[in-house]
Amino acid sequence: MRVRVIPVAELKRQLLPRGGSSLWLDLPDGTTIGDVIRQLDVKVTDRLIVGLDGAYAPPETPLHDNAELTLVTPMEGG
Amino acid sequence: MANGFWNRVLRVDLTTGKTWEEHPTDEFFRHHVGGRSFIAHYLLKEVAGDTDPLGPDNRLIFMAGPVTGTPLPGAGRHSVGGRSPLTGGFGEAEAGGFWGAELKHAGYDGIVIQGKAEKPVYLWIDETTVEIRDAAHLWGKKTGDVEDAIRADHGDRLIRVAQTGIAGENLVKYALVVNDLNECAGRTGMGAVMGSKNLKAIACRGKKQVPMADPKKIREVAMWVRDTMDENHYNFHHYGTGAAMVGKHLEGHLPVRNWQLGTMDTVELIDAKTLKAEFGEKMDGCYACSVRCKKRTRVDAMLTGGVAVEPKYGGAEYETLGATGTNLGIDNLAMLCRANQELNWYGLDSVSTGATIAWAMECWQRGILTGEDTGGLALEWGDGALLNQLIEMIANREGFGDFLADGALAAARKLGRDTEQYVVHVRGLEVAMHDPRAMDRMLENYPVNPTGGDHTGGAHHRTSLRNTIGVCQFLAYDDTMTLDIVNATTGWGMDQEELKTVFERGIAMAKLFNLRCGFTAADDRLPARFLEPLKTGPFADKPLTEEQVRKVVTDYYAVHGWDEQTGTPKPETLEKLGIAEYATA
Repeated sequence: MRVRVIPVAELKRQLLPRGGSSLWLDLPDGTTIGDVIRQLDVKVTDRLIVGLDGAYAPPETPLHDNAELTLVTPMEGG
Repeated sequence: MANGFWNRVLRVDLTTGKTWEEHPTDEFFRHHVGGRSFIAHYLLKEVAGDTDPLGPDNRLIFMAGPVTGTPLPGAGRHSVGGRSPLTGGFGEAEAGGFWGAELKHAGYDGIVIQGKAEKPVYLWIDETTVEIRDAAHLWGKKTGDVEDAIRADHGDRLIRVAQTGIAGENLVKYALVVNDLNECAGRTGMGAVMGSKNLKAIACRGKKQVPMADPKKIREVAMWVRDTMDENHYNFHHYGTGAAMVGKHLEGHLPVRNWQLGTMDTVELIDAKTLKAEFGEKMDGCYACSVRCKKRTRVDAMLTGGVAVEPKYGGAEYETLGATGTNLGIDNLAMLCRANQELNWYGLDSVSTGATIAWAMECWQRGILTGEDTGGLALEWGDGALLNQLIEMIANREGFGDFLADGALAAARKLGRDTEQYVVHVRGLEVAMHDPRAMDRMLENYPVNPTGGDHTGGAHHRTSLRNTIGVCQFLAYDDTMTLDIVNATTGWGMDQEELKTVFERGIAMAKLFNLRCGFTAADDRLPARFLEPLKTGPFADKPLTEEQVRKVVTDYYAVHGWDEQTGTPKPETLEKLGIAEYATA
């Protein structure tokens, strides 16, 4: 299956150092959100917030073909 | 003379037209340091508990910190304080930009203003002059025109201006003091206090360098900020605040529709990433700051109903995108950019303005407010044009805008109909855009914060200390670096314990003033809305309980040496902090 990963703000710098807005991953069936996070080796100083198709989803959630994963760190400032 | 200070506080009596200087000692400065503690000192010494916040006896206090005006990233901060017309208690707000640094460069640490001028005036300050000047030509003008006119008066484009807007002239109780057109001392209505004194603006110009004990160390820290930008300040540097609003949506604690919902599917239409991509002109900075987190936006008038958005009024921060965007259900970014400009034109606090409108919209949603009450306005969620119309009406106290101009709590009390339950406030101050149901830091802050529902008001060590020393909250200085910065500026050789005492002193003094104004422990609480579950998102089944909030409050009292029942700082605490004199002042 193919999954689109959309890193937000500072995670974009980490995962898309050459620019662009998202990356596509080819993954075996049964892959979970947690598997993708480990594969990408995402480094955050606070916590990582993950959305699946626009809604909050825990790491053990299995992915599906054409899923959209949003990766974001908590808000800064006000 | 200590480093970091001039030992000069300017006093201004607008009733008599007299100005003079006070010269606090080095010991006094080390004791109080700046911002909050200075403001509390003057309020406790000179303002009675029954003083009308909009009367001549209130004080309007502008205070820098020791670090303000040094060449350090984040050192453009100053505080503005007085008795709040919105809450009736301790009022304080902070702003960045250039004005505070310019005041220091003109040779002053702060200004304390009392009385009321017979007719509109502005204050002109440079290194050799203090003048109270006629402001008839400035009254009723939008902030950009006021700044232009003052600079033209003096033939100097580098003059820095702090001013109250038309909202402050009209005594809107959440009017703010804006400097540099887009830097706002936003909370608690200090713009209304300024307007009540017929003081339109304070214009500063100066070139004196703030004396520093160890300028090499300050330069080193400045280099560290520059050289580690991506590691420490990437989001701020590239987007300012509000880049990751989708994170709040995903986690379920985005303020939506007066805090009824925790999610908004269209949030990415109005976050800082989209703002930068669609309307970003450039990023800009405050005095001496390489982080440059300030957005400058430009929007064509065709997209906003006929009003072009100019970069000089900045760009919406997260608080504005939340308070006038998600919390009103508005996802039209161009209209939010216009609203941000209108708020800065008129000098209105975006949080209180948005929150007061949100209360009214919820009352409309529930059928409690009708067209008969609103003069025919339909207060539907998501209406960006209505938002801009209401901002103008509030600032000018026109029609239903006048009804909203004293804040959400006052409006609910005027309306009755059991609508106070929909006001999301702490001690009369509408809550900033961070939900304590999901954020422990805010649960631990709002109920005990000296100013009420302010996320930066500083009930705790870090925020309070930053406000006191004059350094921006956004800089990634840890406690050790903060201490180094204070010592490199002042040469005091403080340790962490002494710096902590400065914080303790500030919150205790602010508490004493709130007690004087009639607040009790019963006021240290959260509004009913946060004891209800959110209707959408992961926090839908996680309301707070009264017991949780009460425990936060009593724990806070205990940790700081305040009576656990009344919240009054204990005599031994005041004695230990060296502020016993204020309890009876």
